[in-house]
Amino acid sequence: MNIKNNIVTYIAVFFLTGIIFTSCQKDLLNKSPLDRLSDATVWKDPALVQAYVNDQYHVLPSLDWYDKVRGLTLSSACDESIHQYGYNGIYDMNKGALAASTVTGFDTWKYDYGYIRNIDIFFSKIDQVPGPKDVINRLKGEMHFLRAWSYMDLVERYGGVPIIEKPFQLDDNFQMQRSSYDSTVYFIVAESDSAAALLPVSYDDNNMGRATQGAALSLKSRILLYAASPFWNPENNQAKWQKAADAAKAVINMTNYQLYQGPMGSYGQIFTDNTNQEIIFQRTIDRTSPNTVYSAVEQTEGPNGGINTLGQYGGWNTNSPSQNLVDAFGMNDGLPIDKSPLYNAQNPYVNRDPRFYADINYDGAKWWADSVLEFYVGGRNSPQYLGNADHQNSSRTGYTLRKHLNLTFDYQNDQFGQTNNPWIIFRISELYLNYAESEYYLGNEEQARWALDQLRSRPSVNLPHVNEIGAALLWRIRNERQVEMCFEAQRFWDVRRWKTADITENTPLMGINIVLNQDGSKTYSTKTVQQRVFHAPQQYLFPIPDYELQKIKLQQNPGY
Amino acid sequence: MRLTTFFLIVVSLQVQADGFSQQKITISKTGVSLETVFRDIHEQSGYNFLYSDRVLQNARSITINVKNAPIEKVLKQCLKGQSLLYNIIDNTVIIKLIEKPAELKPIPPTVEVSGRIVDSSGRPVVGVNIMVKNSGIGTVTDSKGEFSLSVPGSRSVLIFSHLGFATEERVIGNNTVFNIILKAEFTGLDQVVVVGYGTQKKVNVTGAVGTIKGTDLAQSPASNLSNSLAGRLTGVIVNNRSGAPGDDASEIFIRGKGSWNGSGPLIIIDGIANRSGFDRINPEDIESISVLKDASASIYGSRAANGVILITTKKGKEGKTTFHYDGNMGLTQPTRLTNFANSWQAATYNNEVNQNLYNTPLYSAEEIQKFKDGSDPNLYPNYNIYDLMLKKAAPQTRHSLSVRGGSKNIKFYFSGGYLNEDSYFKQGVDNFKSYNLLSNIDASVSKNLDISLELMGRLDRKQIATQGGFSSFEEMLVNPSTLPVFYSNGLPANIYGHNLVEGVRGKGGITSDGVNELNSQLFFKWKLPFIVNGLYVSGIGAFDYNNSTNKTFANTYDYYQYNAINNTYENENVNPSLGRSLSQRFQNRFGKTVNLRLGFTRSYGPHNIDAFVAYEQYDMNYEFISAKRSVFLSDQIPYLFFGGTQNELNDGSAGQTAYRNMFGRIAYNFKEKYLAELTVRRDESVKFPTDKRVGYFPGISAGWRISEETFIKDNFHFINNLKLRGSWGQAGSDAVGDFQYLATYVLGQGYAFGSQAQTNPSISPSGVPNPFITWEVANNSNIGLDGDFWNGKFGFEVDYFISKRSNILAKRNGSVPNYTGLVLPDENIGKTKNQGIEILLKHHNRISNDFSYDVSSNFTFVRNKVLFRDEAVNIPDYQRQAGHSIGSYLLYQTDGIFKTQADLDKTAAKYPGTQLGDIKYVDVNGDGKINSKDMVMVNENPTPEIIFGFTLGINYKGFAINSLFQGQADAKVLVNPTTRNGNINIPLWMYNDRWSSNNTNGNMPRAFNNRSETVNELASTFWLRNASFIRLKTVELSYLFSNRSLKNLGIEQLRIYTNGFNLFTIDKMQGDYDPEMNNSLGVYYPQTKIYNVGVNLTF
Repeated sequence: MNIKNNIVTYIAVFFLTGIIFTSCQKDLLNKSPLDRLSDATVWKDPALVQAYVNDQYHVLPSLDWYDKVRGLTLSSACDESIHQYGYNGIYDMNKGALAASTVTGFDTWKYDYGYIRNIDIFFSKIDQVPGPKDVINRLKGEMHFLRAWSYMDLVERYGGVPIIEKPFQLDDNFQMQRSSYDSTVYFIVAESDSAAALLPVSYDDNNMGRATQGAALSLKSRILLYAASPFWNPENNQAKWQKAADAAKAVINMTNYQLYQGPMGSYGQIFTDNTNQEIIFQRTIDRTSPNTVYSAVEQTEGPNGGINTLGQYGGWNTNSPSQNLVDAFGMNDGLPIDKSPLYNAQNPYVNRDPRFYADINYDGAKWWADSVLEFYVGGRNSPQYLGNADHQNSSRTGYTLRKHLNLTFDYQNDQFGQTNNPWIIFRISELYLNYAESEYYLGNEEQARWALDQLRSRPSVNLPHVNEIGAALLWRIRNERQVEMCFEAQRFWDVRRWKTADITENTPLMGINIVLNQDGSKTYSTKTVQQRVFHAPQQYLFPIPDYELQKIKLQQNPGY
Repeated sequence: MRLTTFFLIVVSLQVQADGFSQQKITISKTGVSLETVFRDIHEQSGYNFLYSDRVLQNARSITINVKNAPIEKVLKQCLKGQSLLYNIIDNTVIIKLIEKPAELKPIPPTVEVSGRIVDSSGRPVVGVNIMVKNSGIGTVTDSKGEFSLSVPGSRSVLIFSHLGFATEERVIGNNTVFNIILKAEFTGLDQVVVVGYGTQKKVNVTGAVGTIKGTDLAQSPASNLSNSLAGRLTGVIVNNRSGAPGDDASEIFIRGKGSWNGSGPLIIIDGIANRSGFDRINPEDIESISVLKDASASIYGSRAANGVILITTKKGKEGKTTFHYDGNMGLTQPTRLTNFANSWQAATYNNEVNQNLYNTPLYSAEEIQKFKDGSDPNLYPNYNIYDLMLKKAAPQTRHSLSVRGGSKNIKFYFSGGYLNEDSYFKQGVDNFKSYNLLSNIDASVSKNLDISLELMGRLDRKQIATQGGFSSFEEMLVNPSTLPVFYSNGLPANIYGHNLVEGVRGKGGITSDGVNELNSQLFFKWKLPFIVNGLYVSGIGAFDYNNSTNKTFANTYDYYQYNAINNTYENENVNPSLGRSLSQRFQNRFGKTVNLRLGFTRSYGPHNIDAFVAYEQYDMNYEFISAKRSVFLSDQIPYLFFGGTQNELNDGSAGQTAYRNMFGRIAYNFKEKYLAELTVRRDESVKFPTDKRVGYFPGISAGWRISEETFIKDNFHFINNLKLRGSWGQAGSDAVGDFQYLATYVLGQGYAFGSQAQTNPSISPSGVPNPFITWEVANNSNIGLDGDFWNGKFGFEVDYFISKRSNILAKRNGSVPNYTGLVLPDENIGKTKNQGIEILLKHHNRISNDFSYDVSSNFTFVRNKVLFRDEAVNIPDYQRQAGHSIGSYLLYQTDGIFKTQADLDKTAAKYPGTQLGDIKYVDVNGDGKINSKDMVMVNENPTPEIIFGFTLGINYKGFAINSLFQGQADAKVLVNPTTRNGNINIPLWMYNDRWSSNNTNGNMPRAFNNRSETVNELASTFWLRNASFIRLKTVELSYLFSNRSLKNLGIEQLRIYTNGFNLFTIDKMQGDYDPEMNNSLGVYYPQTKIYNVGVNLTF
């Protein structure tokens, strides 16, 4: 009995310890992450490096709701529009309350430098990656372009910044100094040149949206124009203008791009047809991607009360165009409203520059499915509309945005409910404008007028030749830029580099007040929608954010 | 009795066969029974004895000393004073009782009795209750412990009772003097508590260990176990932040937050770490919970830095099988609800905002009048959102049934439980159900081998409306009350693309989450006495399987837009199939724990040793897959195959982790008077690089039971236990992301290229690697004093502790500039210190057998201080976190609001854009500007520094009342609903007290646009609220039936009870917020108040 009991016990214990011992693995702690790639894997596989490069494109602005701070929303940070909701601290900017401590959504310091590090990592590793030389070179070119973009994004806001070309490691000394504005520009230009040398002129359709030689040269043109502009070139150094002019001309001379040649009335397609020939470089949106759910610009910018007949997609009217901008659109005789006999302040929306009708939704404009927009007091799209107690999303100015919105899209039956609209980063019109401005300052007014005429003679614009000279020509160049490039994240920077922001951004933001009279006629009067304050000179630049200066000593911009 | 008779007959027959002899008898015995003497006589003389057992039943033992005496003389001496007769017939002696004629029995005379009552050490016991059983006669002992009493006759029974002593009973008989020694009844000294990897007698515990019995937890109707811990234990900070069914777990911090990484304690369920769902264990299944707060946790080394909670479930018991049923039903209500401005108030507020911002009001006076009078409910509604959304009360039910029993070799405990919680929402679909099974079998398979098997299964089923749960409370904040929810004809209205009431009814889709968990463990212990006595080997193999499922079916529903001009209602749900989608996710997690231990437990005289060494490893891996399809033609088939394929998505991933640990303990005590314990643990975690992987975590503690010293024993008899204890130990934590020592790349969201914009894959670096990353270390020191006096009438435990945390893993994002672009890893840089005291006082009193009460109160103060964390260099000292507690707020200082133009004009330093009615900020650094340099680190945070609890239990006959008051102090939360980035409906407390030109005494800011005017939104002391409170956490009234008729039905015990949870709260939170909420928007799923009734049946 006792012996049997003991045998049973031994067997049982042997069995149990056996189970336990076999579970004790020697390599128990020899584990690696299952959901991540290792450094060694990535930098020997060109396909993974390509994927790495793809990710850095996110530094570019887009029409996506969250990317607009670097894009569309800049319009409400200047005199083009007012923001419906005041997100990202935009009203603080409007009121001149920009300070190092009040970091607004417009501060991109952290953002850009994050991408710059990723790009720097790429350059520290790319030479060890095996693969076809042309592929590797193209990847390098893309990254040079994106690094140039990131620094341009910074230099526009902050002036000269620390130039970092090697990725920091954890135990490095982090202290850097800000480079001068000119050195930073020099670096950006060098990056653009490197990119242009390595990049192809174009891609197959599936790779449209990758950086090209044209994109790199356009970037170079923009930064050189900025660097030559009055704010950064107070002594009006002609060499700077010459560089800017040459850079613009280099792109104009490329055969890949041409001004939009669609017929009158089709100007808006430049911004909704992502294959049109004006486009040099764009940020596309995958409307099927779950990450871009708010990108339906037709919803975020459309008028309240619906963009289709059923009103299913009630627009949010995020950026309402201002009277200030509307007044900048001239008449179809080519004259500004204060000079043209065609202008009638009590019937202001007739005979305007054709681009006005493509860019702005105004009272009486035809909208989705032939509906007519009513911005007059009490009208369907006005804050005072009585048919609906929801007054929140109606326009404060009496205008809503039309540019970028695709009215041919079938919202009702599209399962994604959003368009594929691109955000155009460079298009050839800008290069003509860059060229015109540069040539003007170089004293070549004829060249300047030629460049403007190229834009104005497009069939969809069809305006007379420019014949202004001297200061009037400069006004014309700037006005043309304001109109042609409105809502394309240009004017915010233009008024700064022109050093005119202390006027344009100290002007109240105006809207229109339209009263529908008993007899069916309408009375138009302008109204102040928002008082704007711009503190010169400090607000020409953004402050280096406090969060950075708390960590490290860097020169702050003047006035902050 | 019969057997004995038979035996004697057989013996006598044998004797007879031996022949008869007559001899003189010699016996010398002291205090022996008659039977023994008779046997001697029989052996010496050959006489047989004949009697029945009954005859000798009341015979007294005798002392006899005879030499060569005749049998008659011997028998006489034997039976002297006994009521027995003898009769010798031949060689047989017949013993008989002396029969007394019954009718002659006299009426019992009153007997005077007296005596002295002392305790085991001979000291008189004063106030002993002496009662004659079944009569009203009684007395108490005097100061000398003496008493005298007249009792009715010698058959009376005296009962001696006194609190703290075992009750004694005596039959009077012929005695008149009763000198009784009462034995101390205090059982506290024998109490056993669960500690890390074992159990200990409570008196021998040298660490700071808090325990709570399952029966105490069962007094709370809270459906989540974590909520029942609040206020019960010193040093255990419990805060319930949400009452949502299935999401109502409390956050628990032991002795405060010591790290800004995961600060929750390590939870061990029946000896196994890394098990989920401790808060879902049925309280009825819990034997006890122990909380290890100091070096006692060091035995768990890694991850024990935040303390350890040990949960022990019930095991089988030798004896009769008992069934136990508990069922209860309750009604739950929100503790608090925040009221919002109604429609005309909201319209008024918006007018003020728009007037200020855009120069035009939004609503005309006419319109506001329409909101007020409700004449046009379609366009100008007026309703209370809570009336539309919430029920008066939501039901909650719990049932559990268990069977417990066993024999000497096999013991078992089986149980099953069911819980159902409903939501507050009217016609809501939110619901939580949980099903539990537990099987604990302990078998002694042979003399030296014990095997136990535990199986613990749980199914959780949570269902919430896709637009329900927490988000619906956010919707209530967001929903503009100026828009109707339902039109006058009952049709649901379109409110910015949805309808929140239809939403909580599940019309917009339902999310179902399931957890299927099976935890199993096999345990064996093999004693090895054939090697050395006290030596044993034991092992555990635990296999835990967890499967979780999520399914969200997004649906569309009809909602309408009223067109006032045509007087039509247009259904805006035009293409329902486009809005439908289904996402599903399945995850499997498999964890394995293996433990092998060699132990030794033995006493050598006064030396008691309990020691072991052990090896333990844990490894876990998980995998999930998920899939999504959109465009469902119908909502009737919510399965993936039925969805459109154009946009189908699938996903999946995996992860793994492992630990390898070795540890041991030596516990030694000398006569249970001097106690010492030493533990060492060596842990390895895969989270760290090979050369930084190993951590050693020692612990040492000692105790001195002063009460065992003779000078205490002799001089202070009221002291049952007095113990001084001290400990020091280290514990670790690795509560940070895995594999931070490697440079890795994660899949990005992709980037679209091509005219058709197809997403291309993208990867991005997950951060810069830190090759030096290693354990976070807590140094815990504790000193404590425990005492028990007057046999449990009074007891206390006092602890003082310091816990210094170093090597805290934190990102160096305070000093590394952003232009480096570094995504920082955790580095071992932080240091904190937690310091505090804990006091527990207990009082137990038993007034009579029918009436007793218990009172206890506990108090904990713990202060956390950051000693070092990476902070920006160029910030003023008053913004540094060092010196303040973790989670302290960096806030602007405020001085009310600008109420007068004069004040506004004379104040130089103003936040840009400040107007009348805006918050007045203090220019802390006096530079004439209000900017971030004026922010001050305020030593306030939502985790309380002081917690306290107070329990009162009263038992009277079958009735019992048990209540727990619980509270906290020194906790603050920031509440500013306007910081939500989007429209909100202004809460009434802001509306009513807002400054306006009509209300220049208002204390709240003027009407402002919360989306765009930052001036009133800055994080400031203006919005800081005091979250101190005291609340009646639980109260239970019960009655225990235990009469005979129940027993005849087979029911041993029947208890009915009613209890409540969070019944009332006293606090200083304004604005109808529960003081335990912690959400800066004031959005939270309100904590529950529960009214509950139940029945408890043992049979």
